[in-house]
Amino acid sequence: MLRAKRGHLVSHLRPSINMASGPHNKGWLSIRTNTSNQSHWSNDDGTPLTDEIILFIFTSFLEIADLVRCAATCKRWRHLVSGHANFICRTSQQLCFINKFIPSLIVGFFHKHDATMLNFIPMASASRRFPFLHKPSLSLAMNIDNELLNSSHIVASRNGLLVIEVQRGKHSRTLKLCVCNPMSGEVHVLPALRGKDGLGHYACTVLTTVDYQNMNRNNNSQPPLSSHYHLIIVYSRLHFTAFRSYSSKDGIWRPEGKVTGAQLGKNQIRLMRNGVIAYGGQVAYWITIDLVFGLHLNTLDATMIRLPWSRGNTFIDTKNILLGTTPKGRLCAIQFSKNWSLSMHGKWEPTNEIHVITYDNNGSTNNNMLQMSNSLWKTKINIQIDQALKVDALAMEVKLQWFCEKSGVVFFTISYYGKPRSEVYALNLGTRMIEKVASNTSCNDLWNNFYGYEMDHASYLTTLT
Amino acid sequence: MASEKKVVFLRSSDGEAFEVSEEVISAASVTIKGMIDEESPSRADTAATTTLAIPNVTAATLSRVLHYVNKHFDAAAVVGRPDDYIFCAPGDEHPLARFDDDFVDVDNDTLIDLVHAAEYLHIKKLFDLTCKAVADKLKGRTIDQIRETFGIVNDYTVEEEVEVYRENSWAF
Repeated sequence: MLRAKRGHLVSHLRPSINMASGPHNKGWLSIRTNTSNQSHWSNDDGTPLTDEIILFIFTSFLEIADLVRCAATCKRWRHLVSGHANFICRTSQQLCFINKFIPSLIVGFFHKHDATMLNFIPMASASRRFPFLHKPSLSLAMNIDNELLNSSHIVASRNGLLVIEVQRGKHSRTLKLCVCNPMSGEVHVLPALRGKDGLGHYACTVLTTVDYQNMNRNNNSQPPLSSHYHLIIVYSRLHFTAFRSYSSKDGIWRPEGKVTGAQLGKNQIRLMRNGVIAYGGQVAYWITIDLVFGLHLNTLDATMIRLPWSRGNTFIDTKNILLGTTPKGRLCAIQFSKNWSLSMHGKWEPTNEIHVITYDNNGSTNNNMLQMSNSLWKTKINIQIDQALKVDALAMEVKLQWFCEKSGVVFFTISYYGKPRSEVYALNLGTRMIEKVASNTSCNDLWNNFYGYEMDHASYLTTLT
Repeated sequence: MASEKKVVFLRSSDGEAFEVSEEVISAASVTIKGMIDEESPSRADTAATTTLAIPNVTAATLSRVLHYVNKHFDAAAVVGRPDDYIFCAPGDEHPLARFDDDFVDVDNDTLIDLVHAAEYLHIKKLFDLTCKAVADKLKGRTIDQIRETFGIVNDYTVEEEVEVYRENSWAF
């Protein structure tokens, strides 16, 4: 048939059309095995639509599950999705409007078993797609020299990005951070905060444009996605709690802000972990010991929230909690409980359960997010883990380690009383399946500095190749 | 009534000519406005009616496109025809929403011809409308439904297909 001459309506697609990951791609994506059959696919798959029009449709109207199914129909469409993954993710209006977890995003977790070595352990599914991850190395993924990296540690992991603090001297107040995406190999070294900008303990997290997408789904004025990110830190000044943010768009740190409402003690800041962003990028939350610190990012109004600690006869282990957001962008917490009940044989037996509770304020975006009412926490999932693990519930201790919120995977470790043995498991909240990921038989506690890692949407679409 | 207004003729790829108001088609189609602007110096002398060849669009498609253009871009028609509003459901945000829905409720070949025509003629509103209609045939559909709708030939090997299912089963 006569193919229409290319018009100008989709011409803006062309300049950036041929990019997988940029010129100095040394990321995990670049060293997959599966890229061999790239060359031969028929251009004539039966669809008369041009590549530009198909891409326009992909980016304007489809969400990520639709794209994955389209990619699965034929090789031409697959190459359109994977070859233009970055473009699609930067441009798409609908991509992340999805109400379920995407388990394919999970890659594995980082941990540090002594002062120097940063180690990565992949999930079985990731090892299939990236076989080299069996011998993982972060420096492989990034243009940072190995020495520097090994003396550094991770301070945040969200939406495919890792925030790494380059090691500083014991008494130095200079903070050097870098943000990297191990999948694409991109690394940004942030301007150091030194002198009067220097600081001691801090808590950190990172926002990407995915975080802004979940609110106001039907609002057409929403800006499209971009590859920019914001990094935020909270720390102590002499008489107040301070806040600072860095935007990758400007490449500068914004001036320091003063947090009002709740103030944090030095020790609370030191123990802050697991920063998450909820409600369309408006509120950040961290755990500190058994409390949740919530910070409204526009007003810098803060509050301390105590999560529900009992439900009926179930008593929650208040220090064994993780935070995250639901696929709809609402705050949720993963909790753990060990309960004793009388078995059929007349013995008291423990049950170990993992719970997911979400804060259901009907999408309201006012300050209610900070004044949380216990009655609005709803239990969504209870999962009894003993039977699946086939281990003696009596003799083990469970520690929740990390929640990969986009893939819906909870990492937890089990250690056995009196035995130098520990194991890492991954619980998939979608399927409720539990998978053993790693085990350790040495006396050392290997699972310190545990950071789960899931890739960003663009990297995932690229892996469809 | 339209006699004072300038008209142009558009000749489809299969030779059929369609009359349309120059003002309306210029407002709608960037491509045709460009053609008319190129022609205009010579037209001033002759005062003859212009016929423009649209070699990529068939008569069947062109007549649909002009139906759309007259509805959407003829200010007199939109304002002066209150019956369009009567058929509007109360919730419709645009009085032509129902017309648009009916307009793209066509078979796939016709729809894809309309996409191509809208792209070639550079009619942004029509292009968005028809692309959205194509997207609606992809959204939430299974792989087999998409292949069937678009006549896509599956060129995956069985092994490749198994792998795609295994690694991305959440989406299927």
